[in-house]
Amino acid sequence: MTTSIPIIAFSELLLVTIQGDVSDEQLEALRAELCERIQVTRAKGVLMDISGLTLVDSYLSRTLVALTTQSRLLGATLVMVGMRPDVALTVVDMGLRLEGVNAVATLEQGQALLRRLALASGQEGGHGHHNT
Amino acid sequence: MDTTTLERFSLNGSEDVVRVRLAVRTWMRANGFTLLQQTKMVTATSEMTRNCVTHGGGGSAELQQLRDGERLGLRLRVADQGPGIADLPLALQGGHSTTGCLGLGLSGSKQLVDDFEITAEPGKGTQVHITQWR
Amino acid sequence: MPTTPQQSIDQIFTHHEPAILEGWMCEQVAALTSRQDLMSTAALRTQSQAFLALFTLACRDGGLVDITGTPWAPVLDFLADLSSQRAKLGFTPSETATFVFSLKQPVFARVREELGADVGTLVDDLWGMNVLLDKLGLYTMELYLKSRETVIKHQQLDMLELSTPVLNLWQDILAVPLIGTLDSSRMQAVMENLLGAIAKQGSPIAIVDITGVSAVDTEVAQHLLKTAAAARLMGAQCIISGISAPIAQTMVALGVPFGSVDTRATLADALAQAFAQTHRQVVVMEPQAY
Repeated sequence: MTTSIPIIAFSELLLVTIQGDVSDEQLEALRAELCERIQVTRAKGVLMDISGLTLVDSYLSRTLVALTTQSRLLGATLVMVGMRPDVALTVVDMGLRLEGVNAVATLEQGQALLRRLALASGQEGGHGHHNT
Repeated sequence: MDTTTLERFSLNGSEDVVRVRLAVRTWMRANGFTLLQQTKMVTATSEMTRNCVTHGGGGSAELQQLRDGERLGLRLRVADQGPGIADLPLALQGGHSTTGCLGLGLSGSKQLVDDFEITAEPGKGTQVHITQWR
Repeated sequence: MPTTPQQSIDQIFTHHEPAILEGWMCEQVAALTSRQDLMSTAALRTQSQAFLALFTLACRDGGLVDITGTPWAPVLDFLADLSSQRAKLGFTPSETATFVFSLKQPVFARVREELGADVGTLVDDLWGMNVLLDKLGLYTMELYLKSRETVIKHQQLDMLELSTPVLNLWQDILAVPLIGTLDSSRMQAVMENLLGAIAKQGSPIAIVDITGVSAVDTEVAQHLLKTAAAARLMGAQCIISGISAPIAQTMVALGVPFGSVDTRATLADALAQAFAQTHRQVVVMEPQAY
């Protein structure tokens, strides 16, 4: 349970893969580590693959919102990729809202969304974008 | 109705939360519950056991198999000796929370399972039973 | 020398089986005239003959009173198969029970012929046989009802599957056309099917068309909203199309917060919206001169 959640850097993006059942400590460590990696790599986008994540409870949903917000403060857009149907229905049933969190179904869609957002902010001279 | 104890846990840290979640998932998967039923029960389990650790100062949990004729169910009992909950009806309505979403965790979990019972008198600790039927 | 009912019945069946079969067939064909479509007379004869053979054996070895003993097992198994077969074919309960009950007439006639002079034995035999055939008839009915229940359950499941297809309307665009009456269990199936398809295919857009839906209550509306919210978490946008004027009014009256969901009047509008979202354009071509 002490294994950390992997963060991989590729083509100016960070890819975070959360799989199975993760402990609160692992998530706490991820928050610190992701901040550091964004600062070091100057990444503009974070793809968070949660297609293997088996539950999102209130703690995890707060973590996802916090990761999104702190990434934005550091100049990177976080996109959540591939939430499982049973997990999504459970989140909805609980009444949890992942406010401000971008969601896409596949990694390709995530990359495309980040490209579009980068392009838009470039054209508008660095103005912010809005989240879905 | 037949009740059989499957496993007992002591809850002291977040590692224990993970252990109970895995036990719930494994048993439900082996006993033919749907993926959605599994995920709902595991999520409610996570909320209840974490509440016990963070708000109740730790406690204990017990998994029970229920059999009522053809019906098969899984019940989780969580108990702590903590401060209880001052305004239980308010906590069950959800939304209101200053320390960190105790409200949403409680009220949300109630929506996930078939049966939800809680007693939490101030000073007498908190006892929660949640049950999912196949 | 006096004979027991069992012995005399045994003798009657052994010596007069062909005659009993003929009489029985007449009774059955008369009762089932309208059922020629479900089962041919030849098939019925084969079935009746097979039953008589098993029945005769069971009467001889197992007696006429207790049908739960081992000698009667083959007869009960035969009737179980017959019941479930007839339930599936669409026979009514009374048509199914006719199989056993109509055996009374030819057997009683034969018994009277054989033992007409000996009134005491006659009454005993007839009573024993009557009770026996009633037991078998009731057994057949019970099994028939059980089989019907299974058939109905299967049909309900099939209906559920059939009524909620998820279509690949276009690349990246899924659609679920809903028709008829929506209830909670059907909505649950729709929801799980659609979300499963989104996860499997990674579709960014899902259209739920309710043009063919007669009424939407609060519960169904809640399911629609939940589906849309869950789809959004999975990275797909849900468009609800075909909301009729009466349904729109109901929704407002019920206070359903549809504001958070994309809605379109028609399926065509929803598709146009989906094309726009996925950066596609529909172009009308000028007719080409030859």
